[in-house]
Amino acid sequence: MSDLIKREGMDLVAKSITGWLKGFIFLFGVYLVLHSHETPGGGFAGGIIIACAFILFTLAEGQHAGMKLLSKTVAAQLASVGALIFLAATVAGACREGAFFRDFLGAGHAGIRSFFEKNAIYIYDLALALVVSMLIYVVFSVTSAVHVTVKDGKRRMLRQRRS
Amino acid sequence: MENALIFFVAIPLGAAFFIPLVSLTLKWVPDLLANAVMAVLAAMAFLTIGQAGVYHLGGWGTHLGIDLRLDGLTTLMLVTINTIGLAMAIFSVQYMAKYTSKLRYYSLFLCLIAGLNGIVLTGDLFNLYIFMEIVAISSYALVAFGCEHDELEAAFKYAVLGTVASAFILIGIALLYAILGTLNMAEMAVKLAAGGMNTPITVALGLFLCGFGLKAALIPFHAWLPDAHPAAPAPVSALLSGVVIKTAGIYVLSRLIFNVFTVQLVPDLLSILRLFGVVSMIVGGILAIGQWDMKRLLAYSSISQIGYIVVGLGLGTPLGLTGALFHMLNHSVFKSLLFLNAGAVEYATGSRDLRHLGGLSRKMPFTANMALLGSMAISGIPPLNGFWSKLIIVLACIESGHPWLALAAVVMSLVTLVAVLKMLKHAFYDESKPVTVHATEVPLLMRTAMLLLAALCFVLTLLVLTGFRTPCLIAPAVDALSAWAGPTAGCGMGI
Repeated sequence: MSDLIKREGMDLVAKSITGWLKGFIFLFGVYLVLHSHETPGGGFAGGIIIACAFILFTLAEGQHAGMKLLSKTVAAQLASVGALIFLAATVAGACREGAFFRDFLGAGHAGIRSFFEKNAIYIYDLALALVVSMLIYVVFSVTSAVHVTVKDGKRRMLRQRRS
Repeated sequence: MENALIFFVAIPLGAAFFIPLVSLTLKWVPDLLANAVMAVLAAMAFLTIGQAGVYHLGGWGTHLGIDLRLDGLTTLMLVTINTIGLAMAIFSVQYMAKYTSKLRYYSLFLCLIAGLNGIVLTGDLFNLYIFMEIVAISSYALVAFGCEHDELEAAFKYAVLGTVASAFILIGIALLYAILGTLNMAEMAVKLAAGGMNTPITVALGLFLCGFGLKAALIPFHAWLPDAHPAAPAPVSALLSGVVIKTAGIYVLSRLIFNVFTVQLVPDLLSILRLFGVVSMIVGGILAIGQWDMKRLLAYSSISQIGYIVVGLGLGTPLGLTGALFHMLNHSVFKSLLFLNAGAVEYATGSRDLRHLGGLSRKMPFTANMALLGSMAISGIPPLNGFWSKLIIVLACIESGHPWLALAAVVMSLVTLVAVLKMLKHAFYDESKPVTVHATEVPLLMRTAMLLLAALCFVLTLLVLTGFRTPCLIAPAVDALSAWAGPTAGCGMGI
């Protein structure tokens, strides 16, 4: 089992470079999310880059290492949490300001403000980044963990064996 | 009431994302939550009857933000979607127990409901596209839910053709936006009325006809439906055939044709609709007779019934629209009922192949009676609801000078009767075939869902007795379609 895990993934060069890069990629994703109010795309672009960090790690180190870092179930649950935070923020707008999606923290000026000023757009973007990053990772891990075989003339979906 | 409109989308979406969080430990949550959500939504839908209004998301105006609009047609669709959805949620509790992952099922189901409610509420064309994609992607996943060979193949076919349709629609929206500079449907109508037609707008209209025709499974765009609808679990088949093709196809088509483009602008459009309608009606009905798979037979019959609705819309007269919208409502009810019957038969016997079934009326008397009732309703036997809506469509055909369409509608009603009698005979009443031994009547909640729909088949007849006057559903919907482009356009759908 342990030999198999060691042999999983790509070669040493890819593993080493991924080891150096993954943190920076993740950090760049976080940077984009935190500056999402000033950049086009915002939380979505940042979320995708965060997901890329996880996907790159999984590709380089193999599926088991990737799943150990972040399992599909946890990722899917985090995505649900993100979606619920988003929904709660929009409903809070409806309750406090009388309109769904209204900025319920600041004075209603969504957009160019410093991070430390309170503004609901950060909550939207953080939630969106969580949803996007985790869902992209879930889609990647589900599609890579399942392969289709032909048995008795019929195609069947099989989960990859763990050892 | 306007402030509550957004909750038609927010509540099911919230529940859809809440279910995966809790249901790994609490197994009873998905069933209870989905049923509670659907009950609340159905109650809210009935409260919208007689109401109208516009809600601006985020408080931004029509030019900047997204509008939700409530008028007669929206109310009719909301009531249809959420009532049928409630019956499906009740049916799912025991039916879906044989599948492994109820939590994923209910999440997708609630996403589907949220998307459907969004389609009928939004007043913004691009937003409509987004909601349509939510519906489409949830349906692809739900069709593939069984993960067997047939399900995956059907889902793949559905996904490919659905994506083609979505691409057509998106290009059409982009063209319109480039020319008119707005995505709000009410503003579009005003600008179109002022500017008239030109070639790009005609191209956009053609793309919409193909795209939404594919979503509505009109012949010749129907290839995905007879595979996709039988492959899904029974409640989802019922929802797809009963509600989804009507919301994503017929509702949007009628909204665009009657409210945005308006008939005065494109006079030939109605004859194109009538052509599509009559071809779907005839071909779908004839193809249904040859089927041996119970659900496939019903799926082809859906194409035929969609043909009736499109013929009614294509007449463009108030009587034709009344018939079309009433038939849309009726068809959702009895087609869902018939799909649930097929689901119950499959649940009890493990097969839906009519050649292997037989004599089930003695083993499953309740299901057999419900199937008989649904079959009578779909083939237009009085006093059930299907008779009245077909009668109105036939009368409307004669009134507007299309006796051949009326004849086709009557003849195809008989053909529908032949198809459903074949289903009844082979599944339930043929005593000469060996009775399926192990079959027993289905559990209580499944019977409750069927009974609810069967009762609706009778209750909807009462709409005719009131002469479609207020506060019933149909007249405000017809008004919304026929009177929108009047002087009030731009400040709300004929409110």
